Amino acid sequence: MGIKKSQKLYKTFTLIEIIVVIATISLVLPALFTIIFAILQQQIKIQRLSIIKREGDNVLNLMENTIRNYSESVHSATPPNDTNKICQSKNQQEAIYFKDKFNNWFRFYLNNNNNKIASQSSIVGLIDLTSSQTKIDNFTIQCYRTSLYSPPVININFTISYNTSFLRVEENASLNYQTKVKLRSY
Amino acid sequence: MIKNKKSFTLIEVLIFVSILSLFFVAAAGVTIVSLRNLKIQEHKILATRYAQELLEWLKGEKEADWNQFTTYRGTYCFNSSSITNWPTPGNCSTNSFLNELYKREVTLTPQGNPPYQINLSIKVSWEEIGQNYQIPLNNVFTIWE
Repeated sequence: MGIKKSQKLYKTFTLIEIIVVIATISLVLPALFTIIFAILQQQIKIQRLSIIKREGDNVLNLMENTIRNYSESVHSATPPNDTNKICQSKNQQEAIYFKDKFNNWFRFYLNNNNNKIASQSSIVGLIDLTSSQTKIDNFTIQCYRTSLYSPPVININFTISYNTSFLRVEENASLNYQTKVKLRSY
Repeated sequence: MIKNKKSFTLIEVLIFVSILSLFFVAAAGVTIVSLRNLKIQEHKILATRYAQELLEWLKGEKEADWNQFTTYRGTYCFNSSSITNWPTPGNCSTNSFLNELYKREVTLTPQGNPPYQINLSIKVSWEEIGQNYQIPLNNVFTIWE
């Protein structure tokens, strides 16, 4: 009697119990991590999309308003004068320098070193308009004129995408921007 | 026989397991809903961008040549990002989508003859899990600006 009692002293889990527990955990944990991973990925995507949208909207607005309101004529070189004036015909030409009514010049261009849109002017100097979180491709800024006495039309185009070294498609966001601006005072 | 082994009864275990499973089901439901909302959010951001893209393009067309611009009237479907040209008039067909999801339409209503003002109504719509979403964008172009 006493011997039998001492044999039953330690209660342990059986092999079957352990196997069942481990199997359940191994089913639940991957499912849990999949969901968490999916949420994180989606949040990263949205965050990147909103960053590039914010910067793209901002830089397009800035270029549009500055060119429309301040630019008087378009030139191919500095200092701007009548001999280097461009955009007199229907042919599209690259718009390099804009002149305002005080004879100051400014320009928007793609800084090829860091893939940012930058602005330069005779007063303020050089300013990057986009951050290092984004990169710009296919930047063109061209001008033409529909008829001899109509104002020059500036055609702006660029693609903004998130600046990442990973080439995973699902995590890369990119947006196209294009617009045309007519100079208000010319 | 003296019962000296202390253990959970079947009822106790059942209650515990059912409460736990209720909790897990609720947590999974909340997670799935939030994931779905995130997805909708992403699509909304893109749809807003597409609507603005079309508006900017149309503004460009207007700036370039007002007389030519007034000849376009009615509904047009712009089913490609990075717009290059005017499509043939008409609504979006049921099987072609912008970015495999969206339908982007604009309706132009000129006022006056010859037109001095054009009312635009841009609509980007898409369907998601049996529900329709749309981003409307209305604007007015006039000859004087």
